[in-house]
Amino acid sequence: MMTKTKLRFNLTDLIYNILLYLLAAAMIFPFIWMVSTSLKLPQHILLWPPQVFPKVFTLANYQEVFQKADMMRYFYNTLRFTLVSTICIVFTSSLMGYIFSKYWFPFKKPMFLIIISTMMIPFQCYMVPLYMMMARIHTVDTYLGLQLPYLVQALGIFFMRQNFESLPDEYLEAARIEGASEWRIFFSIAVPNCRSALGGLSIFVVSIIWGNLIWPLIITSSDKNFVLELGLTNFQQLYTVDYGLFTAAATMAIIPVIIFFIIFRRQIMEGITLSGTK
Amino acid sequence: MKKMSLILICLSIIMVLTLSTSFAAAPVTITFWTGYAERVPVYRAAASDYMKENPNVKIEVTPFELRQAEQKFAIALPSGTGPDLFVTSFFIANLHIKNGMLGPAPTEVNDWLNKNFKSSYLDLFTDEAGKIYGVPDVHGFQVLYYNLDYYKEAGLTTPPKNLDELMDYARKLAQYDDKGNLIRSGISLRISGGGAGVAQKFDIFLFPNGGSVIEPTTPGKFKANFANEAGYKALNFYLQALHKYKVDSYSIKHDSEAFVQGLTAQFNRETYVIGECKKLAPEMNYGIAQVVGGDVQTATNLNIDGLIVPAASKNKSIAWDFAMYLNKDKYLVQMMKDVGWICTREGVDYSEVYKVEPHFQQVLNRPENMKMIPPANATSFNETYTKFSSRLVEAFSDASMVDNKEKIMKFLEDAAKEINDVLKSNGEYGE
Amino acid sequence: MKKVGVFSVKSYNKDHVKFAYTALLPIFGLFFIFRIWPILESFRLSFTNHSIVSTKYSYIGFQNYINMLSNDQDFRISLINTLLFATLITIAVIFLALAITLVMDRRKIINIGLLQSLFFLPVVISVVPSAIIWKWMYDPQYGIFNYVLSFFGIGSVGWLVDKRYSMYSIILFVVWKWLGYFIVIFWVGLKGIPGLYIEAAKIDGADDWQIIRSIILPLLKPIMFFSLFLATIRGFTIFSEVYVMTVGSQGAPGNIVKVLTYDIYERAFLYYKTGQANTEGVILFLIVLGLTIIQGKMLGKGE
Repeated sequence: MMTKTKLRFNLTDLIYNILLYLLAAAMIFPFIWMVSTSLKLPQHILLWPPQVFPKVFTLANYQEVFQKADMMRYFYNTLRFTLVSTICIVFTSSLMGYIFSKYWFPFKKPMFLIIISTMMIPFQCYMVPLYMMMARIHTVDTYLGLQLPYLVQALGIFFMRQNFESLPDEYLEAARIEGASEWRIFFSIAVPNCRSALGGLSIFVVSIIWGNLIWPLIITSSDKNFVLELGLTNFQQLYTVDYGLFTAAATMAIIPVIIFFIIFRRQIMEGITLSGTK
Repeated sequence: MKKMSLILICLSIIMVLTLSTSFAAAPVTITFWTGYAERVPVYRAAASDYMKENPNVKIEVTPFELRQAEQKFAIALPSGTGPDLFVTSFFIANLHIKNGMLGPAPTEVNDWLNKNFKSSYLDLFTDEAGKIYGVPDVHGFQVLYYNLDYYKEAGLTTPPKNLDELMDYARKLAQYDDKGNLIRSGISLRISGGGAGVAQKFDIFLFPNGGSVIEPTTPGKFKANFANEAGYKALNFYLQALHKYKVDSYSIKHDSEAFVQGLTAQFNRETYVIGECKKLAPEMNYGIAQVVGGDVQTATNLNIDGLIVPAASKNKSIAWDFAMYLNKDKYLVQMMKDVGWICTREGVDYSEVYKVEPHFQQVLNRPENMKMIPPANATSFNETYTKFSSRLVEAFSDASMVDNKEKIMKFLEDAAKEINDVLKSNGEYGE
Repeated sequence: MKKVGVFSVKSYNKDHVKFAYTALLPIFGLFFIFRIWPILESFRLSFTNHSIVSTKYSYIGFQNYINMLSNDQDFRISLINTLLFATLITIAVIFLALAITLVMDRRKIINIGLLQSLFFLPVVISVVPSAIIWKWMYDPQYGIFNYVLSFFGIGSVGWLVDKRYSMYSIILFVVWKWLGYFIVIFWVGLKGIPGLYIEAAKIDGADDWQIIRSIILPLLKPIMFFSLFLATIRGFTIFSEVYVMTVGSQGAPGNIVKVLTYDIYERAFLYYKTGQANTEGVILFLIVLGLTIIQGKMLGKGE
């Protein structure tokens, strides 16, 4: 963490602060709108001029959502999917990223390029063959079918590799000289030094998997296997949306991720580094 | 070692989570997918009654967003991982019928179908060999909604009878603020939006003069039917509305949302809007009339949904049985009363609904010679309508085309060529 | 550590290679089964007239490719739209994210933690709810944007419906959605720069601009390349954001904002021509691949 020797707070700093906070306020405005709509009565939702805060607060929308849809079940499914995906992806991405950054071996370049290029083709294109494969191994509408494609992720591998580039090779050399095995070096030097990146990666994976819609939509068909995002479709009708119910369900769906981010934000954004070896 | 224990903990979490699946050993389970979330309460009510009468059967009704439901169904069919029962538009059903993915109705169901449904509806689910593949469910057709209070204000008493009157009325009903901006549209047209909707709504304006986006010529063959007088009148109607008389505009709200909020005086839509109005604007005074006709004919569109059973389903007979069960009077009445959609079975007494909501009677009050025209049963249906919709959206915004017969006809001819090319690419073009 | 090419065998460290492959192969195997193989399938189908609803199809060679590249208007429009979209979004997001992150790092900002959480919030809200909220905000009658305009005496604007503005309205939505993501990427990259370098420069008397120019930016190159790459790929393969905004009667008009992924979706699931859809996917892939290679060369070593 950089220490700022000057503690004086000058005018330009103040301007920057104001600008940034104004921007941030604009960024979260839609969210505030969403939450406040979920707390409004139906007749207050489409008022003109628009009212940001509800005239009358009500939890009726949330009650109705719980009645109409099995939110707890969706929550459990989503939690399971996200947790396993995050653990697997973070582990495999850091290991692969580390290897691609710090080691040389035959076919390294082609392998890396192949992995990266899988990101360049939209999921829509190959999701049908993927589904057919799942059908063949009888994992349609099961947890396994949902989870298997999300044990590794190219984006994670690429991200970690880029972050490992800035890890000085000398650290690894020093450990090798002292006789440490490659695995030991990975776990005790590489990983601790990229905690910030690991944190960043986990928050990405969590937000992608938690809100993933396309794959769960195709692979699951029983209500009991739905994730939260799919559960939202319970409240989307063909021509209209019941804004109150929909925003209530949507708010419930994202609260856990927000909580996750708030709890882990320090580790992620501030990055605790080891002293001594630096 | 700390690292080791961390890894072990992670691994055990993974193992516990991956292995803990609940195996609900159900008796016979029928899966019923639908893209119509608003109808699900009725389907579920029927399902729970059916399950009480048949304790060894479990029926799971699962809703999805409409396009996603169709997508899922199409992807699942070839690998046999689809549902036991699906409700969808007849067009989609026909696609799957042609490809041999659906199972035909068993004999008992066939007899029941012939007794209870108009043959013109059943024809839409029949293949060339005469086998019926679907139980007609809900049908949608457009009607004209109009705001009675606004009518009274403008001194209008009866609904318009043709396109000219419709425009006349719109001009009397439109309202502007002091800067000249439109604050209440005289008519709300579908001038934007993705998919096939724009062209489908345009059809209604083509019908009065005998036009349509595509029309059947010989069995299995179609051609574009709008590069003519009907097309000119329809397109000019939109152009005049937007640019000449300014009774509709891009910056005002559209469709049922607008009607419910009093931002438009007239618009065409299906019957579900009745339910919308009841819920969101119970005090509003409005009337329903048939869509305007013309010299050639008075007609509205007809979209019909059907309950279909995939050929790969392992519980076909129960699925068909439930499809018949869904058509009991009780549920059809509930569908109209609670949801606002009208089913197709003959001889159902809806009077209890009329008492509560007389608008439904207005809807079904159709003159004898009025036609109901279903969309052309062509594989190219989606593609032609979607492509024509994009073309129309561009044309509507071109103010220089107003009253300009040459420009309009050129546009229509170019578009017709494109549509016919699509038909040709699917081997469906014919004069 | 000697850097060697793929085929010069002499300088490989045997133990290192063993370690690398032990870890690599199982993971790459998973990758192959669940990503690479379906992609190859999709490539294969691009040479057929496969339709999603039937099980019978035949190979037609390069016919799909020829048709698409020579006289397919939808493809051409989608391509242009996608290029425009991706370019604008990439520039906007990267520029903003970098600027904001640098300010957060080099200036004294109160409660950075809160600020970062606020910026990240849009990333976390899933696409469908956020698009619905934005559609609402763009509403001609009840939207907040028009409400603000009314204070300046300007009449209602059809943000999504009017073809002059639809694309920019959607771009604004996407930038809002992605900004926090890239801020985290740049922030994490900044934190990876050893503090020693910066301290040393400060002792030498460098001011903020010089520090940024000569130390931070060069060391940020791998991350810069990653962000550019990511933004480009995401820009070209964007789908749900555009889809939800164009669906429905208050949605944006069809062709103005149709991007390649949307066209692919239409072809596969509305027209049921999956062979063609896959062809388009392959072409999209080649375009993105080409762009990435160019970017890599331009930014020098960052590969």
